Order: sequence, then structure tokens, then C-alpha cells
Amino acid sequence: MAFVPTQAGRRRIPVPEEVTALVETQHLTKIYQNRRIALNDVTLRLEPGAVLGLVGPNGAGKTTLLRLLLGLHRPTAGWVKVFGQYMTPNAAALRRRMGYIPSHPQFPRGLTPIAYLDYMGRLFGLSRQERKPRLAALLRAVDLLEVSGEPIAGFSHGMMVRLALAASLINDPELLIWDEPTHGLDPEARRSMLELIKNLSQAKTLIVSSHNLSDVDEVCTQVAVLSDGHLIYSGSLQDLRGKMRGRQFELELEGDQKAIAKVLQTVRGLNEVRQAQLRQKRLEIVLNDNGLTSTALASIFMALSDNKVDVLTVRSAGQPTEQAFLQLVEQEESRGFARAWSYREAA
Amino acid sequence: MASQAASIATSQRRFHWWLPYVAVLGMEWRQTWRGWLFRLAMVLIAALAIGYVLHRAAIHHQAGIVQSAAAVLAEVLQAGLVLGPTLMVLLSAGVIASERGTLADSVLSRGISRYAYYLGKWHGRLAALLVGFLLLGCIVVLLTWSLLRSADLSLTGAMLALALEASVLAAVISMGVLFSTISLSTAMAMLLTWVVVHGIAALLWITGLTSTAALRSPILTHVHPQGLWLWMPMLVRGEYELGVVLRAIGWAWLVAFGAALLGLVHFSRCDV
Repeated sequence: MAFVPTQAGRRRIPVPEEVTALVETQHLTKIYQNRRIALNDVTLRLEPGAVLGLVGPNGAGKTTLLRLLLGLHRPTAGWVKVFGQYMTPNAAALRRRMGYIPSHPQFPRGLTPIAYLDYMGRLFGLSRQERKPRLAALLRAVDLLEVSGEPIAGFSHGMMVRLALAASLINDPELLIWDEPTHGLDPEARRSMLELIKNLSQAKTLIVSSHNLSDVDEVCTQVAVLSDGHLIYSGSLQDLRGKMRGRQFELELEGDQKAIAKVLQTVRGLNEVRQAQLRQKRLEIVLNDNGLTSTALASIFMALSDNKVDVLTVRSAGQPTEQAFLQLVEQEESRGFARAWSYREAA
Repeated sequence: MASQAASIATSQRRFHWWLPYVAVLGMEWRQTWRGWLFRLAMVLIAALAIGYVLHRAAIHHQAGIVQSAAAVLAEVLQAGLVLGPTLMVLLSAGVIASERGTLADSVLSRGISRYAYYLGKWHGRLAALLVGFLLLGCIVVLLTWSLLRSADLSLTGAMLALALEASVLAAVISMGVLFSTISLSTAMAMLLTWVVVHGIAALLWITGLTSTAALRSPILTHVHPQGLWLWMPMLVRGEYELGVVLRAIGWAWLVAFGAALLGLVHFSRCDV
């Protein structure tokens, strides 16, 4: 048993003594002024060295979760541990080991990037000998050296994101929490950001919130999916893709229109096929969850061959992660009141 | 960019626990002095106060109508007592409320505790506003003394009157910072502080008018607005008991520290 600090005060609840995770949350719940449930019973574990992609629709609770991890908000119930210690608004020692980029970074008007990074360095308690060379190197790294003496007020969104990125690295953090770091960036800057995440992931643990699932697909090793404040999936990307057994395929066909229509009828009759529709000469197929994909595709190709219809291209519709994400959210929404039962089971 | 930034983020570092507080204090001091509202207020007050003293000096020298330096200074200080709290509410109530959810994120997500942030903000704003007030006050005192040169003005008394008024304003500023932590917007913080400060003043004034016994109580005598109003002419003439003045200053600072403590406790537990 241990005391756990929550918004309601310190409560005695059972807490496991051994903690190896870098970030751990247990039954984390945030209710704003008894009016809005932003986060509902989120239990999450993040091992050192992982890159966690936090995904979910707008208003799913991603930013709230990140703010709770940083101690900017206090949990209504449950707890957050970072580096094995409880995160509280006054846990400055823990935040010294973390780097944060907010979703919409804002800066004091009139400051120059040099003054701002110097201020950030002092907030981390870094001495002049440490912070000055460091801020200079970071400004060079994020391509802001030429404008380092100009007021931030005149900066574009991309420049502000790059400055926020430099600020998040000024203290050489072990854990990076970046809220939508690629949002609003041009393709080149987005590519650089993704490359940076890949490079940093070799030495650090990252939590990256993003709307862009292709970004998550590219750089993350783990993924957590939030929907309406509820954590509906947490695990590896591979497992998430594995959940996508009813895959979608698009086949571009060549042949007689009557033969193609006959193929459509045959395909619709297959047990492995959940849905099939024809758009001109493009056959769109959604497979069922059960059964092997290869068996289903073999049956479809057999039908095509029997009707002398040729295949020009075969394409998996959409990206696997995106499909899996959409399916997860859809499943969660369609479960209705059944969610209440699974909640009881989880509790 | 990617590989450079990644390679930079690997060195060792040492922390100085006092630096975050000093950083916030320094930033707050600079931001206050650079703020357009503060600068406008300083210019307007300086123009009004100095203009009034020059006007009375002109009457003294040009028209030959003798003006009492103590009376002129007391009038300026009394005006400060009436307008000062409202101005301080405007200048202090946005200190934290204006940054919540935006700029505060980029500060409070770093290696700083809520206590250090709050104290840095409070001390920075308090110091900037009080230094500004005392600077203008000293200029007005010296100007009055040098232009009117009447024997009834006590420089020590005038300085004590300034210190007393500054202490009252410190209490108002601290309340502004307190309500800045409670409110979600600057406008709400200003409104709350203004209502509370003037509500307390009005209550004390009414109590003083209706009950002379209340005026004699140790707390009310020293912080009572009516008492302070009547006290100013006496102070600048040098008619005071030092112990009483110091006690009054002490009470004002006690209110300031009390408000700051409440704000500190609340801010250390609230969401930002």
C-alpha cells in the first residue's frame, strides 16, 4: 500500500512496489470541473527506449494525457509515475529529465530565439557554461541561426515549431513528449522531424501524439489509441496491424464487362468476403475477420481465372495502421453499452 | 537538422536549483517594465502628479499665493490612495491568468516547481510595480520640496507616507496575483480583485463612519482607508509616531503575505 497524490487529495490505494517502466499510469482519470470527462481509466506502461505513438480522434484526450504526464494537470483519480516516481505539479526534478513540445507552441513576445532558449536553459537550472554553447548548437541544428537575433513575434509556424523543438532538447532530456510535432509543417520540415525522431529514438524514449497515422507508422514502435478519453488499444504496432484481419483490397480488372459482373456475383458468394463492390472495372473487396487472407485471395483469383478476367493491379486499400485504427475506433463506438461490462471486467 | 539535433542531446548536465526562480523573476521584471499598460500608467501618473505640483508652484511663485508643500504633497498622496489600488489591480491581476494554458505551458513543463514559478511571478511583479511607484513618488516629493520650500514639509515623514502607501499597494498587488491564480481569464481576475479590494475598503469605510470603536481596534486603525486618508497630511508634516506607522506598514505587509500564501497553496494544486 502507498499514498497516491490525486486531485481529491492523498489516498491509500494498492500500488505495486516494483516499477521498471519509464512511464506508468494506473486508472488515470481526468474530469474537468465535474462537467467533462477528458480521460477515463487509462492504464499505460512505457518501457525505456520505446517510441510511443499516441493517436485518436479530436477530443479523444491525447493532450490531456500528455499534460497529466507532465504534471501540468492533476489526475481526478488514478496516478502517473515517471522515472518510477509520482508526477505532481511540483515534481520539478522529474520534469528536468523531460522535454516537451506543446501542440501550439507560444512564446513571450519580443524575445529573440537566443533569449528564449537562454530562459529555457535557466528554467532547467543549467549554468551559463552549459546553456550558452548548447543553445548555439541547437539553433544551428534547427536552422534558426540566421534569425537568432530577431524577435520571435515575426516567425512563421514552422520556425516556431523548430524553436520549440530546440527548447525541448536544451536540457538533454531522457524522455521526450511531443504533442503533434509535425502539425502544420511543410513536407521537407516534416521529413526532417521524422528523421530526428528516428535518430533520437536510439538514445531516448519518446511519446509522440499525432493525427497523421503514416507518421506514427514510420517512427513509432508502440501505439496507444484513445477514443473519447478511453484507451482502446495499447501495444506494438505489429499487434495492431495483426488485428486487421478483415483487410481491404482493390483489384483493377481487364476483360468483358459481363464476365466482370459474373465474377462480382461469385466473389460476393464467397464465405471469406464480407463486402464486394464494382466501380467501373475496379473491384473493391473487404474480407472477413476469420480465415486466412491468402485462401480468400486464392478463391477470388480462381473466380477471375474461370471467367477469363485479367488483373492489372492488386492493391491493399489504405495503410494497415490507418485501417486498424479506424476499425478499432469503429468497433469501440459500435459496442454501445457492452463497454460497461468490459469496464467491470477490467476493474 | 535531424542528426545534428540528435547528437547534441547526449551530453551530461548539472542543475542549479535557484536558477528557475531567478529566471522567472527576471523575466517578470522585464516584461512588466516593457508592458504598454505599465508604461502608459507611469507616463500618465507622472504627467498628472508633476503637472499638479508645477501648477501649484506656479500659483505660489507667479501669483504670490503661498502654497503649503505638505498640503500639496498630501493631496497627491491622497489621490494615489484612491486611484492607486485600481491601477495596481489592472497591472497585477493578469500576471498568471493571462498565461494559463499558453505561455505557462512552456515554462511549467520545464524543470521548475509551481512554488518557484509563483514566487518568481509575485516577486517580479511586486518589485517592478513598487519600484515604479516609489520612483515616481520620490520625484514628486523632491519636486514639491524644491519648488515650494515651505517649512511644514518633513522629508522623513513624506518618505514614511510613501512607504506606507507602497505597503498598502503591495497588499493590493498580492491580492491581484492571488486572484490571477484562481481565475481562468485576465478580465475575470481583474474584476474579482477590484470587487474584493474595493469591497473591503468600502466595508471598512462604512464601519469607520458608523462605529468609532471599530476605528480604535488595532487592525482597523492601521489599514482603514479613512484612517489612511486623514493620516497623510499629518505624516508629511512630520506629525506621527514612528511605532504606529511601522505597525501600519507591518499590517499591510501581513495582508500581502497572507494573500500570497493563499495564492501559493492554491496554485501548487491547480491545473494550468
